[in-house]
Amino acid sequence: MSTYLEEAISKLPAQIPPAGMFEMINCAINREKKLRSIKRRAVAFASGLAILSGFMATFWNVLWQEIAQSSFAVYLQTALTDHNVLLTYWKEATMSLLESLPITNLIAWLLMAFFALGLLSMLWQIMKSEPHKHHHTALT
Amino acid sequence: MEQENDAQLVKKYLKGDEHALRLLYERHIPAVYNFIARISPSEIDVDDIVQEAFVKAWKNLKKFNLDLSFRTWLFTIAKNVLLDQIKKKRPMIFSLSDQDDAFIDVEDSKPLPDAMLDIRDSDERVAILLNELTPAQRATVVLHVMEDLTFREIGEVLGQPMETVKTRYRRAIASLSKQITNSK
Repeated sequence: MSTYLEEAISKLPAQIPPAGMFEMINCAINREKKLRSIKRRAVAFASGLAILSGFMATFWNVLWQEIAQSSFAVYLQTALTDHNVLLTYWKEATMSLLESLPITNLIAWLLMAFFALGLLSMLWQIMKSEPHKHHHTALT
Repeated sequence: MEQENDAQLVKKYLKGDEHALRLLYERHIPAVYNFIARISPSEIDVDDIVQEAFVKAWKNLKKFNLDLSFRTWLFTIAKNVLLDQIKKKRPMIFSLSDQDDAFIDVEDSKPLPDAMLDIRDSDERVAILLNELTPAQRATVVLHVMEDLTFREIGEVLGQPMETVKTRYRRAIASLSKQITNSK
């Protein structure tokens, strides 16, 4: 009896997947790939932001210390309070102001600004590549 | 041309050959679909289960042990996805464990020529009787008879010992025979 039953069961028509199922699966896979890429970029962005914040906090203090220690503040104050001196000796005053700037620190800030721009561009890409929410399956 | 085995296809896909995934799909999804369709309660969307199972398999493809059977692995994932869906919809009712087999009265039915003719004539009748089995029995019968899985493989899919699967299979066939006898 069991052999006949097995034979009968094996002859039952197989339920077949609908046409286009692979394409739907492919869509879901591509969506997942996109999501993974967004996650990776989000992690990179968060790490970058943390690093940038750390550097900014450190260099902010150093920058103010250097400005306070340099003659920049004195020159600036003179330039603002004594206009005549500034107008008469503007070339020298400008040179003195420039020479008193904490150049190394400012370069560091410039680099951080570029880094911040890179992060902003990354953030823009993350926001732009948000996976679409309208799809045909329950996988979405 | 020699057909590539599943492990080779998985390796090829992981190396960037997108077509290998399609081949794996075409090779195994019809069987998985039939299995899920045969054992799912009516309120379950079979398409969604199968799709989700394949996407899950894709997600875990890097972790797949190439020494194991891809087919068995895929059936296991599909079964787990189905059970998760069922739990969400109606907890505690559907089970693929042995507890729900206990009430089946095992009885060795002798071959009945008329009944045999009937079953061979009527696919629908067999399908209906198959649906009257418990989910665990139905899964075992479908995997063994329709999908040609061995009892050991079925044990792996259902997460149960091979002997349990064998016993359940015998009970399922006995139960079907009994139903055929009674319906005559």
